[in-house]
Amino acid sequence: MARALRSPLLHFLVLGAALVAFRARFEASDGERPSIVIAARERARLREAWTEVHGTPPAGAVEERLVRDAIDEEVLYREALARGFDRRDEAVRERLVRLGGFVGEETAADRAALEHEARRLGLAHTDLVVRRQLVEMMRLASGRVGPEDLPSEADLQAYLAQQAGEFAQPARARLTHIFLSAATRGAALPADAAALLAALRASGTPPDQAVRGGDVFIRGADFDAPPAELERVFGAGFAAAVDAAVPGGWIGPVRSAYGLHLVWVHAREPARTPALAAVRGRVLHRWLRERSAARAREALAAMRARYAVVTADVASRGR
Amino acid sequence: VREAAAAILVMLAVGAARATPPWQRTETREPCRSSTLLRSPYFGDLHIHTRFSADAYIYGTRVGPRDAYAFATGAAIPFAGDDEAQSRSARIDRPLDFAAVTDHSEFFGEVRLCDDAGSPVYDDVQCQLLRQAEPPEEQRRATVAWLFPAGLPRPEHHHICAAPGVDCGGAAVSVWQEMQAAAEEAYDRTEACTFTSFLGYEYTASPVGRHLHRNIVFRNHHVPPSVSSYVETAGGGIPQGFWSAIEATCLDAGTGCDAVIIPHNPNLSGGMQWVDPIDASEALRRQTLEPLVEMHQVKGNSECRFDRLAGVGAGTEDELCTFEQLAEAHGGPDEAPPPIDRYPARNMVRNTLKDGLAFERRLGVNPFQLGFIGSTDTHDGAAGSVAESGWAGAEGNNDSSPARQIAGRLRANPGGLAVAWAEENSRDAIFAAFRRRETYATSGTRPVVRFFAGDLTPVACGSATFVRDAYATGTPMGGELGAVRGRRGPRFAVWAVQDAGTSEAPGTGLQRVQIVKGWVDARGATHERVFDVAGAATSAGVDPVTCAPRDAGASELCAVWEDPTFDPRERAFYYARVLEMPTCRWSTRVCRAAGVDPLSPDCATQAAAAGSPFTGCCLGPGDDPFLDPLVQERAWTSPIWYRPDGIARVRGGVRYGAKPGTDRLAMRLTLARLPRKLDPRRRGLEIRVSDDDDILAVTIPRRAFVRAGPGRWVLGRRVGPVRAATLLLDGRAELRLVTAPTDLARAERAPHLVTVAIRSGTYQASHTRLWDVRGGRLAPGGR
Repeated sequence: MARALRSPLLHFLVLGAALVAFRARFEASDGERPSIVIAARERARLREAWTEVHGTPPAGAVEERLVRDAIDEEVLYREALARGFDRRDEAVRERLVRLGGFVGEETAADRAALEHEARRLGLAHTDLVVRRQLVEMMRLASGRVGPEDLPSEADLQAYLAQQAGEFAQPARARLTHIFLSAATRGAALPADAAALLAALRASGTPPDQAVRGGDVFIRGADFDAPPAELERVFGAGFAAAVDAAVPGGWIGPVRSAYGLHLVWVHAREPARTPALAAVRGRVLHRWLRERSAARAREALAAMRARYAVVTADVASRGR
Repeated sequence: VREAAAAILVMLAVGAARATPPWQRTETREPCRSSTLLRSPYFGDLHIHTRFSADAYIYGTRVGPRDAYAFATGAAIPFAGDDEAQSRSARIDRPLDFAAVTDHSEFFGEVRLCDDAGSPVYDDVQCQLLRQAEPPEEQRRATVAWLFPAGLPRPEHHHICAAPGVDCGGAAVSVWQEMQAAAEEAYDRTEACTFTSFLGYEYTASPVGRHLHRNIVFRNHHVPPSVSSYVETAGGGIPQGFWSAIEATCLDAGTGCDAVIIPHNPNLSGGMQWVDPIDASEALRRQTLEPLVEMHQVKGNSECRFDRLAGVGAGTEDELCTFEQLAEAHGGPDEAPPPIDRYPARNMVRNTLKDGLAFERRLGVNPFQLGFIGSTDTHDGAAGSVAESGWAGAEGNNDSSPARQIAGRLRANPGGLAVAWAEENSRDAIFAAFRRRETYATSGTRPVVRFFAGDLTPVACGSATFVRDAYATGTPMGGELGAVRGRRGPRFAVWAVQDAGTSEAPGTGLQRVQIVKGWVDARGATHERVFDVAGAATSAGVDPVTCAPRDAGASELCAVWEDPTFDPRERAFYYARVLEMPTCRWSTRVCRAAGVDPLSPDCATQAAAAGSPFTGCCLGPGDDPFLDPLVQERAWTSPIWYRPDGIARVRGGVRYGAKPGTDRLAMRLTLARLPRKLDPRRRGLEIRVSDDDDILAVTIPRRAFVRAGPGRWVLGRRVGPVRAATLLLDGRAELRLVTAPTDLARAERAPHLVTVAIRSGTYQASHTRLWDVRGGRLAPGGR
């Protein structure tokens, strides 16, 4: 686990989230829910902002996404305020000090006084920069994973088993081939291949007797490779022929970009799940990333449920 | 059958067993199932930008490093459409074996902060410039505003970094950590070895628009905690300030960090990519830190340049040097491209290599001993997206439509690939290939090319032991040679096989193989010559409908060649250039889809009907110095350098004793010409014999050799394990040494590659061959 603690991704997630010492916990509230209203005016504003950036108005699905994002942003903002993030976050306070200096009547260089002045003017609730910072802080906080979340060996094993497809080592074939070069043999190529194949089969010559007929192939005679790699080496169609072969006999001739091949498949292995030790770094990174995303998603859903959301419908478009 | 039976050949035993590769494993991983001592070609891309690069972000690219590695391994990723919405999508034609994401390190922090809605500078004008979607013709303002500091002599971070509560350094570290996380997630550490990710980034010094850009590629995950860039290192010079930072934070840091620095597209450097070295030690520093050059990429080819309308080249008469040339010579503002006779010579790598020989003649060290790679320089995160057919572009919304591609990007091309000859697909193995320059560049296709030089007596085309014999009696691409056969000169063996292609796009056959020679004569003047060594300069053009070459070309070409102009006194380099048959260029395919056929006599009429963006479609050999509707894809192997004062021959080897501790190394090493710096009175002599370990590493201090006659020196005392040594210096140089009985069990008793290297002051030379085990001895197998 010491290795996991040095993982850059973990630092990345934890550093971001460590700005607030906060562990998300969300319960449903009692009584009447506060409401969030996205009126037609809001919709129009979202449409305009999009159009300004992209040059064209948003398509229907895009507009719905914009509305959803706006609701989420409002939820996150209110939750951040409810938790007093605006009083604890250094970046927010720094911003308020600056704003206090710009707009307040207070002239003293006393930072606390400047911040107080900004708050008195309601800037903690109206300044766009503060708002965005609070939204992002809330986002980070709700998706926070920390050292206490590090998965156990069993967690990782289970995750690897569950996501076996993602981490699978590809199927592979071990083979020896005899190459007959189109460049060297020209018109005699098919006949040469057929005759050699017949001779090999008749004599029962296996490849491990260290003899061969044929031409020399630049990438060698022995391969231990997944189908995708065989396709890249020999060209399209080669892997399918290997896949269809019964191991322990000569097959062919198989066509490649270079000529014909007589192939002896020693063994084929199906795709398999690797040992955790071999993929620990990848599994852990993926696990942490997914844990963080899922936690943020769940937290946002829980928070959203605490509000009564009212949106102007699409019919009000263009009014 | 008779023929086949007669051709029965003894199976190649080497490579079947797992033998010691000449590098050490520096990371925790499974060894690869598929591994071979005599190496396989691995195809990769070492130049990839994502949204962490300010310019890529401005072009509308929003994918990150994780997406780039996913693209390299076969996943589809989104590309920016006209309005920068991520409305396009593409996938690679076939996966890569390795890749490095190399975002511009200068503004990591700024880009991250401007991309983060919670940052206090999110609404700053600088940030809005980055995010604002703009048509390509209006992007210049934003790009210049962002990249401007990279062109200043005293660059600073953008003003947003000075805002209160803003930590650009911390933000840059968070980007670097995200890049590390993405690379780790993409790296296959299992025995399947399906993909290798490398960590890296781009250093982007651009004084007055001269691109003196370099990528750094790290060997493993032991990387510095933060990146270095032009902004922090400008005071130390370009690129010396960057070199110093990398030496301090990586190479000399004692953390297990290792890296190579790769200059790229010197064609935009205004001749400044490689300036004259101030002395021999700076030349050696450059040779050590910068072993490779990225010679082909999206922004043009940098091998050599020939203007076909003027009938003149930049230091060359090679008419194949019209290939994928940009018009301009640097990225500076609003200057017309220079005429060919004023084109800066060292913008082109062949000229730089020739100058390197001239410097070596004067200084004893070649500062420009550069192996070759290609890569893309994609700004779409589209690692290895090099197919001419269906090219999705490389610069975000600049390539979002056929009209934009043809009107604005006609001289761009899909870029190339880096190919490394390595034992297996792992970071250590491929990085070791970078270090020894056993690499080649392609213009995007995947031919397989072997190139060796040396004695090569047993090497013959068609021989089953071609590769083994070549490693035993010669050096592969990227290496160096002494006077291996005296006045007769080395033999060269080149073996090229065409790209296998894909089911949609079959590979193209080969037209010919050339050997390009550069040399410096006794007066210090440099020369070059190109020899056709296999195939011939024939072409029947392409099928006007399918674009397939009318003459299919050869699936395989091979030659063993000797240089008829060889002069043992002249320093020289030789590299192989492999040419495919011509096919349709990407632009020809795009133009045709728009109803404009560059190959048709009616092209101009069709272009007029299709609209003004498409007039460029009809440019070709008749009216443009470089453009051609056909493309002759090609590969360039790293050069092999002939050095009169290089190691000509190594005799002797390890004799294993009957009991532990009784092994001996006895060796006779010959140099045809005495290196100027080799003087046992004035300088020590370092001798190293190594595979993955040091078999012998000893420094014989100056004055330890005692004069025993004219030109004859003997070791007056035992030095380390060396019991006796003789140095003969009579115009030639010969070193004989023998160790006392000692333990040399670390020299594995199996055929493997062994390097003998000597160094004295700034003089150094090396000799790597496949050593074989015979009768209790491990020794160089060939002559």
